[in-house]
Amino acid sequence: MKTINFNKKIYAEKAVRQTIKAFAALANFKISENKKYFAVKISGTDKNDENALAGEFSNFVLSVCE
Amino acid sequence: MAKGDLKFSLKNNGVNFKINVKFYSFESVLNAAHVFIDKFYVFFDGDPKLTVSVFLKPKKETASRKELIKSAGEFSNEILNQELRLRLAKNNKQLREYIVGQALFGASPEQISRKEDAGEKELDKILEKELKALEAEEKKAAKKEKTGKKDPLNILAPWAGKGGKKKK
Repeated sequence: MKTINFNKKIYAEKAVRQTIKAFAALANFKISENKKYFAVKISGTDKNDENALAGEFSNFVLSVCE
Repeated sequence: MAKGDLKFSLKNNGVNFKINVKFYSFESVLNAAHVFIDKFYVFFDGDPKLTVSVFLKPKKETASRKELIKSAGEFSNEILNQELRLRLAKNNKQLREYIVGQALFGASPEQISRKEDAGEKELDKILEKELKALEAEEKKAAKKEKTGKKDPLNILAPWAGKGGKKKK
């Protein structure tokens, strides 16, 4: 399992949720939040793929952010 | 590291560095990230109003220390590029809007039909002028035929009749 933290001041929640929808077929994603971050937990994939998936996920969120 | 150098740290096969958003707009930083997302995984943290922390992780697994440092520098340069683009876009906004507005206005059906009408009228005028010029020329030629000699240069006369001698 891998967790990516998205800073609330930089990343929009809408963008994170939109990305989860887009990536839903590739793995399991669970979003939670604390004061500073949206935390996305990725599970259900190979550990080798997890890093690449997390990176691509992050890039996708960035590209969706306005 | 000399003063003014880019401060960075290498970790997890990536490079981490901070960008002061007082000097660059955060929009430029985001735009620069978009340029890098085909070769790197880009992660942001920090405050977009003060300092943003950027973590670049190359998509290829093995990147040397030199390459990572270079990519941090290139990212910083790209921010400058994007800053310039934004500034130019802002400065030229009015002019750009004016040009596009004029182009759209000129392409509207009303304007096109007006232009076509104007073009046809102009063509009619030109044709009329040409016709008048031709008529005037014809009249001049007809006058000359009536008043002048029929063969002023004596072209119609046979060569022998002009007094020429044939060589034997």
